[in-house]
Amino acid sequence: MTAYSTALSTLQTSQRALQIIGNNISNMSTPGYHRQDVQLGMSQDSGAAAGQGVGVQEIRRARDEVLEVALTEHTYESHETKTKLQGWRQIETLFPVDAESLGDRVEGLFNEMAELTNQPDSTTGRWKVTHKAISLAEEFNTFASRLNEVRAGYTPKLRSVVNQINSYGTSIADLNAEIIRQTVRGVETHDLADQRDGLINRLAELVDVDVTWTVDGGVTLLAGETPLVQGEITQELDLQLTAGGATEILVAGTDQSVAVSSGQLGGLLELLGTTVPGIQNKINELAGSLIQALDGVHAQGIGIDGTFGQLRGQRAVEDVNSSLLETDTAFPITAGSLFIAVTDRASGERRITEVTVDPETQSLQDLANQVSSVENLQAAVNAEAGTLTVFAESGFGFDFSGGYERTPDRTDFSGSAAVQLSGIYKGNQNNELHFTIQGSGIVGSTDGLEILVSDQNGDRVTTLDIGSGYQPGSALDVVNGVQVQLGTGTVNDGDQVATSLIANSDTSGALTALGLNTMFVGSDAATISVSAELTERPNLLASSRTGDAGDATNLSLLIGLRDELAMSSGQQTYAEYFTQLVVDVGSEVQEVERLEETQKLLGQQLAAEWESVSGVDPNEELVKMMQFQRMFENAAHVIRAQQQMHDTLLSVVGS
Amino acid sequence: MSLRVTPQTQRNQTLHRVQETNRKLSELTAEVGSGRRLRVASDHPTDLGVVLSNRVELSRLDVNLQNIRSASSTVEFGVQMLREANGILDKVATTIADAKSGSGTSDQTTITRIDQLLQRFLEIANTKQAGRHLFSGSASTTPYELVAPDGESATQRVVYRGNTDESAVRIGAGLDVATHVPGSQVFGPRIRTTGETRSFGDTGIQTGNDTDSGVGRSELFVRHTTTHFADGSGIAAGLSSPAGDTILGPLGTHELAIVDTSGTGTAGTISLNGGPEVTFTSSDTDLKIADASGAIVYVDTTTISAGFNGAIAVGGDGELVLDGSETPTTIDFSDSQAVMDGTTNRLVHVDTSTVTRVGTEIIDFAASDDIFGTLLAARNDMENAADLDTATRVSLLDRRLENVEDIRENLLQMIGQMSGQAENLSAYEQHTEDMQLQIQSLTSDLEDADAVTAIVQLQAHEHQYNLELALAARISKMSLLNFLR
Repeated sequence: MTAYSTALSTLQTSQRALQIIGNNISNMSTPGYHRQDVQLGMSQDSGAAAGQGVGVQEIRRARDEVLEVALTEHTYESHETKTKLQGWRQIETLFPVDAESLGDRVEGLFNEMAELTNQPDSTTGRWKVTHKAISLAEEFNTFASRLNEVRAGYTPKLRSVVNQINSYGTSIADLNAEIIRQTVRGVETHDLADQRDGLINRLAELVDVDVTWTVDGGVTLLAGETPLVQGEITQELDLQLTAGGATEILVAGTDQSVAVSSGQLGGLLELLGTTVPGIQNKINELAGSLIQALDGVHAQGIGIDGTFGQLRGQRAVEDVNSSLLETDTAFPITAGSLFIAVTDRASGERRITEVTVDPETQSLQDLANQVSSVENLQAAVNAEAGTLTVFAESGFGFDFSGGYERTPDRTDFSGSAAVQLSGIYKGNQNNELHFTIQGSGIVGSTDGLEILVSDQNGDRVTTLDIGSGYQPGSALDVVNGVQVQLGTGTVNDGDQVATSLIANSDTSGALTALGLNTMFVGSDAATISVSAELTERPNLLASSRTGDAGDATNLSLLIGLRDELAMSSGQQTYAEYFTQLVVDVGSEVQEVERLEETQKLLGQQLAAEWESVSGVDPNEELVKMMQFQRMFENAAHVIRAQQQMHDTLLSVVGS
Repeated sequence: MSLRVTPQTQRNQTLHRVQETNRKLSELTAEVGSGRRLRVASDHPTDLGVVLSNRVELSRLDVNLQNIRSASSTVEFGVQMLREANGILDKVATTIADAKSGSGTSDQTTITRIDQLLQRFLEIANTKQAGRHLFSGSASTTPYELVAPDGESATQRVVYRGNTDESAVRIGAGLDVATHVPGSQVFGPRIRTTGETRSFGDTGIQTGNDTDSGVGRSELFVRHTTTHFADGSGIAAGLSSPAGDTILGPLGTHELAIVDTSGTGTAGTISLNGGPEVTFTSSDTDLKIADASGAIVYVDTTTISAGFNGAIAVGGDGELVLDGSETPTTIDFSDSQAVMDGTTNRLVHVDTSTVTRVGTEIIDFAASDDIFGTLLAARNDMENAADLDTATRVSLLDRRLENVEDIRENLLQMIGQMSGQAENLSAYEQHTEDMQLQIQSLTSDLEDADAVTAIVQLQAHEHQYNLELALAARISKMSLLNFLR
């Protein structure tokens, strides 16, 4: 009966092989399905002679472990890139190329100011500037709000991804358990392994996992150094949000942090923790710097209504009794001076007083006391609101426009000639001018009479002839727009007058920090808005340094800010900074797109290699099918021959 | 090692190629459809950077151009007004010349004409353009106001209410151009030089050779304080001499001729500067002697030396008072003596070396009045309220004509400056327009789609797309099963 059993083994083997081929063909389009190959071997009975037939030695799963690992790595890397690309594209929509951008609004404000120089007292022009400022502030607010929305949108996505990871981890652990059980029982587990590999791939889309196959048929999955799945055991993850907006992935129920660097989860964490905050920081830096610069200049100007009777601070400090250094202020206050000019509205006499500001030792209340010590001026602190209000006595006005006193102090001047200063100081540094008479005699009459003008360092600025030939009362140019005129009278050798030239009346930044006569309130993109007083009364727009309706000196200074290299450590203007930001976003999107493209190509290559190793080729399977069909037919022939031999033998016996 | 290629591999690759071509087709379709090469920041980030910078520059140029045109219009209008003012100056000069030819008071027609010209000048000086005064500097007030006589001035005057700061418009980066100049610069006199002050009177005083600070006119009162006589004659100053003598000058400026007819000094005759002889006796303590021109000296003849016959040198000290100043200046008989009015701070330099007698000098400061002051002064001269003699009146009107020419000189200089500025603005406008065009062109090159190239590429990719689809169809038919059939 050996021949029968040999043929029978052939029939059975062929059928099994055909079944595997059928399975291969059925799953040729199933993602993750690994081709199975039948390995034949000779059947052997112990002690029996050779020629016991054929059998299926092994059903081999066509698989390359190194390639599988490479594919897993590629999966999480490419999904990290895809997630980042989606995020960057979302950010890119905040920087439209055609619509009016934030940069356009910044420029629009400066342009409107430039237009206003045409007619600084134009009510319409002033409204237009104010509206441009409002429009800019609103655009900053919108930007901040949209970036916050983008950030907020990541949290539910992260939760969903973490939940999916936990779900896949559980499923993989279950499959691990089943595979290990089946393997122990000697049952073939290829289909279960394919199912598990599929889940691992889906998990790899979400998080970077390190896969290790164990000898018992199970797998160990690590995220960073944290095991997610170990055989039948799974460890769940949890999303932790801190009050400050930071996000962390922890092992559920512990405070153990999980180092996630790739996959969708890695991409989302980078977008939430680095990318979007980076953009927010840049926008806030732009807003903060712009507010500080514009307010710094605006605070030192005067509107067309002239000097102030009262100014209420629009920015608060946290504690009015703590030192200005310790308490929170919107912008920093440094040690410096505040020059306050008080004008007698009846006589027009204007006196400038220096108030020293030392944030280390002074509280807001101390500063108020200092201001109150200025003649005809009072300052009050609202402890609840944390604000400072300055007001002048009736009949007086004040301003912070600096300049100089037109009638210098004559303490050291014994002559009878009047000394008057005129013009608008156009220098950009605070300085002092000392006028020293050289020679004695009558102004405009005595030969050789001169005034030596020197600066605060004692360096000679100029020497002016006021002797014979000088027309008393006529203005002589001194420096940076300042002129001096001496009236008829006598002067004596060594007579001296001095004046301070104030280009920057607030070297401490106190006006900006406390919101006195500022254009804006708030200090960043989210909080910026135009001062309500300015919105209601555009006449308060500080276009001048003199209060004259046609004086656009302060407007010129404000406009000049757009060309200052105020950003990127003195490397860029505001417009350049914003342009750079747009270019950086565009470049980043392009860079991530390129990376995605490269990864796509790599993915294709890996997929081709995977197909090469594990893919099902129907033609191959057909050939194999024909091969086993023939094998089956041949075995049938063997049985028929055996049958005929038996029949012949029986006929011999029977006859 | 060559890869084992399965139909799935081929399908995957074909699918990828088709998708890639489809993506390119989509991009090109969007480019052609929108006409834009830059639609999102990532399209061409570097080019976008240039485009954004260009847009900033273009928006600035737009405003600059607008401001240039506005400034240009203001300046040109200003020039037009000043040219008109110059034309009116011609009429002023003609009117003053007409007034000169009359005697005594000018007729009312001429005065009315001056008033009309003054009014016209006021209209020009107070001209507004786009709601702003052209000649008020940076102030918004009406620059010139005609003020009736008040405590400050006994006559009508025109007061400048503007300021001395120019109002500037921003027309480029850090570039401001003055559009609204102070009226005091435009309608004021030219810069004064030395020795231009004129003196009208008969004291012998001449104007000095320095620059004076007065404006318009001043009165210089020349007073006598002491009379000096050369030794030898015994004559002395009379009782009324300090207040009554009218002679001034260093010793020798005047001369007394004494003839002692008695031989004892008790009687004789005295004459001043060859004038009429006056008899004296030894009892005269306050004898008045006058010369032919009216110069007076009071003498005391009680101590005339006996037998003295001859001439003695006489001189008079005095003092100068400008416009009623409380502090008189002692005459030092120098060629340039400063006289100050402590109240008004006026300073005048006079040559007192030629002074001979007391009196009042009308000091007329050159290049000091603006056009309005000049017109009002001319009007006063024409009215001749002070009843000046014809020669003085004519001299003063001549002086007004000089003032008019001074003002014209300044006006023409301003017209020249402003015309130059208008030309510069025009050139700057052209330059800005050129820059605008150039930047627009550069920007368009970068941001606008090149339609021809894009369409050609679109066709090429469409062709490729068809080939890929055909290839996919062909591959899908390649199967052993098909062959076996």
